[in-house]
Amino acid sequence: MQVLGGNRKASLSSRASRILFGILGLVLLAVPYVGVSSYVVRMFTLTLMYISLGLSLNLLSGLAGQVSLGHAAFYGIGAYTSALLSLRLGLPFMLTCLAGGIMASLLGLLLCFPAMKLQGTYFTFVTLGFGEIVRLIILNWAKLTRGPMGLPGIPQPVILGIRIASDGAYYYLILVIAVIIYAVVSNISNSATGRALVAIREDTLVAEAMGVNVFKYKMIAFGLSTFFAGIVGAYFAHYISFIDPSNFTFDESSLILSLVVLGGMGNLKGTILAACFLIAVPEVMRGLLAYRMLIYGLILVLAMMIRPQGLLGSQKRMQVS
Amino acid sequence: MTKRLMITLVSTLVLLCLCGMCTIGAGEIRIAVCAPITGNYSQYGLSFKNGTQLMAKLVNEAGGINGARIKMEIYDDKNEQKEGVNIAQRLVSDRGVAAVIGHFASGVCLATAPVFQRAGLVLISPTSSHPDFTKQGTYMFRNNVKEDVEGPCSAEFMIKQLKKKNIAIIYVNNDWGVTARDYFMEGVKKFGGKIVASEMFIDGQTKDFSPILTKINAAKAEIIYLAAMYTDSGMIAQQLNRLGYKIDLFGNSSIYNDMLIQLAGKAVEGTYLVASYFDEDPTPVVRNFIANYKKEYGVVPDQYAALAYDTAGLVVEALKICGPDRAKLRDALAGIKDYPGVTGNTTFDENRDAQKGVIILQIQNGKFVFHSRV
Repeated sequence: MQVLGGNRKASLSSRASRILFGILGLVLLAVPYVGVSSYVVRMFTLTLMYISLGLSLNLLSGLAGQVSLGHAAFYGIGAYTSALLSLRLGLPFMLTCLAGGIMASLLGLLLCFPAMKLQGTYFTFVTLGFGEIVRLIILNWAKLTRGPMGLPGIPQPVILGIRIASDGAYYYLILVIAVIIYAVVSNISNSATGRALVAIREDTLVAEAMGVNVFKYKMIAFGLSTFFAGIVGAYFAHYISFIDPSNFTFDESSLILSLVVLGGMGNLKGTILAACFLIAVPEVMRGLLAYRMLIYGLILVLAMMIRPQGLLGSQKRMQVS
Repeated sequence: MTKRLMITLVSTLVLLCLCGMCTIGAGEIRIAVCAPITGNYSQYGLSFKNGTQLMAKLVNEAGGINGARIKMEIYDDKNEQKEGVNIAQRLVSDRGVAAVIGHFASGVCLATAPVFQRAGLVLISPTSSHPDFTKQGTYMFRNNVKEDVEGPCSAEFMIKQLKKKNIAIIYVNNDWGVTARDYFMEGVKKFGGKIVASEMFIDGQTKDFSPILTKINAAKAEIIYLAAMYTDSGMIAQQLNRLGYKIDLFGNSSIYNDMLIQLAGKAVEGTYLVASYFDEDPTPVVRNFIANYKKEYGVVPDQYAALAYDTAGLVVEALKICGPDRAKLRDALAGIKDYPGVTGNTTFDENRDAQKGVIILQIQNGKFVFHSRV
């Protein structure tokens, strides 16, 4: 009886959540058409961009438990690859964007080899170091990247003959990217691969003893996560049209990681909620000037004190090795 | 628990968003000031804020612009491009904003320029030095002397007046440092000097300059040109002094700050520098400005405050001609000739870059003193 009741409840709530998702989808589709200013559309665009970055890191840090503080590096590699290819060679956006993702992924896998053997904090340190190395290379390889002068005039993307120029068009593009990333990551988390990644996160040794190919699954998580970061980076470069190394600092990596941690490790909806929160809050408080970042920090600290497992994280506390 | 939390969070956010959108004043001319109020560069942001607000206060006390009061609205861009573009989008959607003063760093200016240009809203930077900035569009202005004036002037002074031939450069590896280096090198070439070493360091990371200084000493440099902020220049001077090398220092206008002398003391004695503003300048405009600023904020204004004050003054001057119309304001601003500012008489050239004279200062007995006008 109890079980039956539980089932009915579950199906009811799943129907409710489906309706909720439908409404959310409609709202998101309608954003550029309801007469809001381009400023509001931009806030939605930025939020979706961080949602995408957060989701991609969630695959690596949330599901597979490999906490990375170098995600901005892959995001930066994607941005620079795509910007350089379109500026110097005039390649179309679809190609450069894909190349950005692949480049980020290749370098990610290259990093994965030596970093693979490291656990917990040590792995995090390696990613942190990698992030700094990438930033310094971008800064100092002036012949290729123009170093601190940055790359101005990155062209607007043209996709299937349609030029992405208006705020609305940019918004739809990132919406599509975010939905694809969400679909892929949520499918993975519900698949055998996702279970294997969670097993690795909970206890690598036990997972290996149970026959999980740790090497393979870590590579999958790392490769996909950095691929998506590269794609978002490519989008960012063509959206803001001017990039320089100051966009891809440690601060950026830590912001992306805080999306995952605040939302709850491994919880995709949590990441989305956290991104809405962390991007919207400083914007809304703009009038407070210097107090803004103070209150922002306070909110973060309070959130982590009240819900150490993250906004939507599971009750079980994360083990820190 | 989770659901309730979510509902609370979302509704709070929506409410906050609504609150954030209804901040519209009436019956006044609004000018936006975008500056780094928080973060690594907040000291410059404060100068921007103080300088522009002082100008607004003085104008309002004198009866405003044709009766209308002006209001400086401060926005914190954290010296970050994304923040800058967020603000830019917000400002261009807000028809009440007449003009925008801002962005400390060129990187931020370059990122926001397309947004302002598309909307036809004037962006005038008191400090951007990147040569590409005003090329971004006809609504972009700068009110500081570009490195293409400062660099060659410095080179000429070193070679002609100080009779130094072998010159070394230390520059910060950011857009400004690289630009300053390039124009200075051009000047050196033009006046027949020789660059014996050109060394860069990384902003906020390099603390030990001895390898760079040893290399420069080995290259037999007679003078070092510093394209660095005053904090780094102070460290360079001290370490040079400690190493015991007898090499003169010549600074960009960026080192003109009393903190330099406090930081480096005797090590910067005798250092020359270029500047467009000098706080002991005896001309009445400057004396008035300094008296007003001191009364308002209790400190002597630095060059960034002076530049921001002048920038606000230029915008006010243009508003007097045409009123708060975005397109007309641009034309009026571009047409300004010989505006008597505290940083010299200002005229915009055809690229909307400010043209004004520069002066050479020297540090003597722990004080900046006037040396000559170039």
